[in-house]
Amino acid sequence: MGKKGPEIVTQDLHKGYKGEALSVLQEHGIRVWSDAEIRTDVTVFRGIILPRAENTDDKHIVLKLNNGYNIGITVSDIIEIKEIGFKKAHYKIPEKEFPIDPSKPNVRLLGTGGTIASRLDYRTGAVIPAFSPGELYGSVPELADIANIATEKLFAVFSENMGSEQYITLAKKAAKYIDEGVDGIVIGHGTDTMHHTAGILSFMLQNLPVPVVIVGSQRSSDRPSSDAALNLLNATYAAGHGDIAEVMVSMFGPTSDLYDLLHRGTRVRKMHSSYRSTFRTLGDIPLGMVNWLEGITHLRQDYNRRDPSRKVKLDAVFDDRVSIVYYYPTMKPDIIDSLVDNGYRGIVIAGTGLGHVNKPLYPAIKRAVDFGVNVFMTVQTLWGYVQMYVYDTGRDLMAVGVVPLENMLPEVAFVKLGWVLGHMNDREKVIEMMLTPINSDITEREPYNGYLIFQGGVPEVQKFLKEFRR
Amino acid sequence: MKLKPFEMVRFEDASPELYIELGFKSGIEFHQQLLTQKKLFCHCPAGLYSEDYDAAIIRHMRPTLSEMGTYDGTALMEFKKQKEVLYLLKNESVCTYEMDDTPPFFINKEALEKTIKISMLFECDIIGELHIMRKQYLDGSIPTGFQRTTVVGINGKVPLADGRIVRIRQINLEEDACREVSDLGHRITFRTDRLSMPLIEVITEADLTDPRMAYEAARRIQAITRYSGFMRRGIGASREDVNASIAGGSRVEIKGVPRIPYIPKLLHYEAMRQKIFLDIKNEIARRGILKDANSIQIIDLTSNPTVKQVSLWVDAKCIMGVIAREFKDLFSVPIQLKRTFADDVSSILYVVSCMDRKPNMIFKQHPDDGGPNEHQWKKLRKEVNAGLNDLLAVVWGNTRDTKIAANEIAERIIAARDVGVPNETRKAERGGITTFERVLPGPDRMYPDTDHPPIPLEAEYLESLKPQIPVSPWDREKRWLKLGLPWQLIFDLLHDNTCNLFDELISETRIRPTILAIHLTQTIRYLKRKGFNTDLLTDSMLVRIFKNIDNLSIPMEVISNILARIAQNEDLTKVLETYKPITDEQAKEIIDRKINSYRSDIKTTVPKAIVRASMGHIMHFLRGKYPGYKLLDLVKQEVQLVYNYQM
Repeated sequence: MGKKGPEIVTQDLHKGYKGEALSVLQEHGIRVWSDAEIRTDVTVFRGIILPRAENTDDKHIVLKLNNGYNIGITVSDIIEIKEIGFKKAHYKIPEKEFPIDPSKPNVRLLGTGGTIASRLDYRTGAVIPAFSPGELYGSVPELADIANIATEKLFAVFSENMGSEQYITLAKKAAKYIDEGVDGIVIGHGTDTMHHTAGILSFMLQNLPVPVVIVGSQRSSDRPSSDAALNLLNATYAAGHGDIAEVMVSMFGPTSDLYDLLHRGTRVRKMHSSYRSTFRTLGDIPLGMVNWLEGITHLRQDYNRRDPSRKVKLDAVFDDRVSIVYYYPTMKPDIIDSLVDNGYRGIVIAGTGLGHVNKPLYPAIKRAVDFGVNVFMTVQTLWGYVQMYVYDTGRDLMAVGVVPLENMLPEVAFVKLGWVLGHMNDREKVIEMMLTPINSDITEREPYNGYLIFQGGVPEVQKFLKEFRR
Repeated sequence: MKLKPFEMVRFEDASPELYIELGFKSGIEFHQQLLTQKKLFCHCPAGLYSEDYDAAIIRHMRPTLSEMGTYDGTALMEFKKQKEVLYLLKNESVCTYEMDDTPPFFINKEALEKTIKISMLFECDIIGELHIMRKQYLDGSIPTGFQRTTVVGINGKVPLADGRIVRIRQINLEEDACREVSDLGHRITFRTDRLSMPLIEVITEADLTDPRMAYEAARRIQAITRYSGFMRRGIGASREDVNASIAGGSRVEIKGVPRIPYIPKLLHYEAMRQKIFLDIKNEIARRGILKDANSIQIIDLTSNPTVKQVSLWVDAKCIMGVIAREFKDLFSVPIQLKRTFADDVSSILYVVSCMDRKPNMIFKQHPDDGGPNEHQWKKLRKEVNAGLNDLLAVVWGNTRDTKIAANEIAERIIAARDVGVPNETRKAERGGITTFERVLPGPDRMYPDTDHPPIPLEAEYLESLKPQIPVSPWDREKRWLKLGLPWQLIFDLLHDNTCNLFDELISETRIRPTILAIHLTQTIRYLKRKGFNTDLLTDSMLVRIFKNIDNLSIPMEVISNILARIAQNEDLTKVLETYKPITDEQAKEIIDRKINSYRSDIKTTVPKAIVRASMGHIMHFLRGKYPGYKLLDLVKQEVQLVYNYQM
């Protein structure tokens, strides 16, 4: 039954302490988790010595008082420390064996890290990822009402540390479990680069027979108001019971605890640094809404339906010699030159407006193309199509070899280019493959409601906010 | 005085000895909002209240593990309730921080500095490095599910008027919670405008040995915090929690005491409640009941045919009964004035299983509200084998809530047997009564806030603040006592935060300190109560008024009139003109004229009577313009002069 999360209590007697603070602890023979009495020149404190977060000063010792408050005691004030007892924390989510019900679908949960399930880390004072079926059941028992869950932890990385190696392993593992006949895959993932992973998996896993749902949380699960439990329940429902056999992201629709949106992996993007409802489908509408108690509300019918007889097409290659260049006025050609000189094989430009960069870059881009580097254009407006015929500048850029990528999102273009270059290097073929739509990375038409950023303050929007509790 | 079992002493009849006999101990948690421009962890304006709202969001709370790896009991109880929480948002007063959609910004420095200074006023030791903690509150009152709080000072003290010292355990700086709008069934609604306003919490040790002393300590703490000038005033700006225990009882916290004068009665009846629960525990032991496994039973009555004849229960999805052998009479024992043990259990069901319709539990025939009549009740009792003295309590509703309710009843009876007084948080109600709010939370609900770094407070920084704190209130009090101020006035000056103004005026005018103090506190309070706009009586205006009164020798008896007229927006110069004293010569002239003009009206020839009668007429013209004591002498002289010619 799965692996344990990283142990946070180590053998280290003075975890996190250094310099002055460390020598005071050593001098008095005191270790972390001691129930201690600290006498200073003004008073006596009683409590438990806690590990200290790294990257903090060496001037304080952290004490948990009996009423639960933590305080930092200035080391230079300390006259004496006495150990009265020892109380090591057992920070463990209560583990219960996950109950198996043959009438329920089997869902495989793959862990990559992130805060879908987490614990506190005293070393950094931050939250670290942790999960196993037992722990999940201990903290979100409702999961057993939805599906039989088995887990495998593939990596324990924050999402910004996901890379080509992880993409390939993840795709292979998912394909393996799909081939073995699971009813759905859930991938726990940090939210920062969730849309990159959703994008690459959309290319690596094609012709899916069952759903592949990526999920995370914006508020870590160590907080009572966390969105982790509801996201996980909704994602598990979509994976186990849903009819949409695509790579999807399942995250909060509104900031309220109401439902998750199911976003297509190629059209989803994180749009707010901290809001729960941070993920949005761009240039299109989401696949559906899901609430594990109420089921799935389909918002469109043109999706790949669940069909267990279908065989997943695994195509897990990735060349990470690819870069996104986010254009800004005053950009110098050396930015492009240095990528070329450092052996990059693909460049995705996020250009201004309809897809533009300044004139001084043209020779550098031409040089890049001449060197065999594939240069594509997307828009930093995120919504809308690249259209390089409207202005001369656009036509000039195409003349030097830049290829416009329609309405493909910059991050999706980035992972797609890495994937395509993993197959081939022939310029014509690369361009053809990039422009062949896969799982809606390019769409033929943008519906009018594919671009909606409501403007707060406008009376009709305010009316909506007040009445609909979103 | 020896208390009999189940005897309840009324608050009005309680003597100090009673509390000694009970072993009464109490402590206070005093909360008051700090006066700051902005909130504690974001940049929203503080103190902007509104009954209106622009948007609403829905959330739920789940318990999480504490830093020490355990779940908090309160948290688990809140989770049983499964409430949907609705937050009402107002654009002007709330940002994405309060909604828990943005991490905290760095702590408000103004609030922190003011808290340090107040901690210094209470002579606390200031903590070397502050750690922001998360204190779990799963009742929904804070959208994050926890309150950000930090200890700033510890080991302070506050002397009472009679010289007794109450120790201050700690002073915290924390964010205020939401305002509750309603709590019905599984839906609780909050306004968020007050959320995250900076709040100071002053916690005493359990040094208060009788309810009166707790009252005095609370007043003192309030006075000192207000004395700092850093506090927000007005309705809701201040709230008190009090805790109490008696010997053999348990620490019970009473939350949300809205006014300090309610404290003694609440504490008294809490002491009585604990005493009677200990009596119940003793009685259970004496009778030797509730011992074996069958003595407390939970039974499912959903398919019982008798139950289905009762109209109150016809539509219930689930009906459960709890039987406690030989416990019937103890369930009806009054524990607080007219409230019984059963009423207390009913309030638990209200909270824990969301049974907000009364009655929510039936334990005797109850033909009103469609409950069982005598015949039905007897029949039911017989069917479930409830003996003559056995308690049968019935709960009903949806399956989930009903099962929780039946368990709660059984658990509460077991607690009466095993612990007597369970640790609880109770809610202050009217008339000295309290009702169950939640299990008393423990230290397990605290864990560090990983979103905010620790804040070191350098010794030099703390030193630099010391000159900025007001003179110690105790020093001031001693000085004022020497000036002859009565204790009540000293208290009022501290409480109304008029100390600096008072000190300025006693050094710069010749007005008697007592008179000054009366007007600065009681007169202004009186005018405010009567609806005058006392905001117009700013400190600088009061200085002008009193300096002029002193310079122009305006008589003391008209000070109230002057203050009242200024508070009606009259012009100071014009007002002073009316009361400007007249010279002795002018007075003589007026008196002479008046005595002559009234002369024909005066029938008596007795000199004293003539003086008295003349004074009556003359006072009418000269009140406030000429000192009364001088007036009498003058009138006597003039009467003699005028009447001597005739006599």
